[in-house]
Amino acid sequence: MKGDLLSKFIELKETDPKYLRDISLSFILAGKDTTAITLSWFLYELCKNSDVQEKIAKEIRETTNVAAGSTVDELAARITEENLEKMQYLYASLNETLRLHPAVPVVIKLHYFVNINTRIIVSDEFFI
Amino acid sequence: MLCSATVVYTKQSYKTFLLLHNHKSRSHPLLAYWQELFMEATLDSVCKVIFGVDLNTMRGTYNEGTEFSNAFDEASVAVMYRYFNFLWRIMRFFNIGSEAVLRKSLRVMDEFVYKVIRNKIEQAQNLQDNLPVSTKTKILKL
Repeated sequence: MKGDLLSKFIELKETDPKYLRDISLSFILAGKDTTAITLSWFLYELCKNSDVQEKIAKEIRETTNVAAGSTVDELAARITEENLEKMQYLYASLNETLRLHPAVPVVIKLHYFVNINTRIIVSDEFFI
Repeated sequence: MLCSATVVYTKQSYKTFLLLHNHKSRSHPLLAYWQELFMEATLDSVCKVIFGVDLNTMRGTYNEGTEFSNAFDEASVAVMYRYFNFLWRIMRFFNIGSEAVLRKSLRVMDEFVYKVIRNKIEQAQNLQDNLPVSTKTKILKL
């Protein structure tokens, strides 16, 4: 396959193998566990909220325009980048999953002044 | 770049779905299998995007790829273990326990990654050598 990240770096005359190793392993580390864990949480949340599941299925059916009872291959062929961009509800649900279960939680301490009767909600979930 | 990543991820999702769809073994409960499958699927995709190499850990057809994947997982666990075990520097010095595993996995990972990098650099050089003379001079003029 052309156009992988490593080739791009080599094209830029970057040929120090140690540097290339470090940068590619960092990318793998950043991309592997986070994506897989978020996907697992996404399915978990879908199982808990069947109405959301139904809405996502409906959205996919509408944007890809597949007929009822068509095969997986037909559906896979219609999932293009263009179609994916139209699936706003799916995108929002993925973002909501990330909000509820952050893949890389970062707690930044900020000081705010708030009014006396303001309700402050602090999320107690902490996952790596 | 972005476009090819989307293509890779879409294809990988399709493969994952097929595996889930054809999953019939009773010994592996499906839910436990899920997470494992996602880990393999994302590793395959991310390696395809970065190295341009299909590890195919999901099917296990590419031996070196599976070895790399296992080494990567073992190394992750060993590094995580350092967080709880404050004696890890001593363990590293004597090369025992999780630190010994880490050292071994790092060697496997390095071997694989360096091999891929060497191949890529060679390919790039071959491509340059094979360029017609006119193109070379054009580049020089630019």
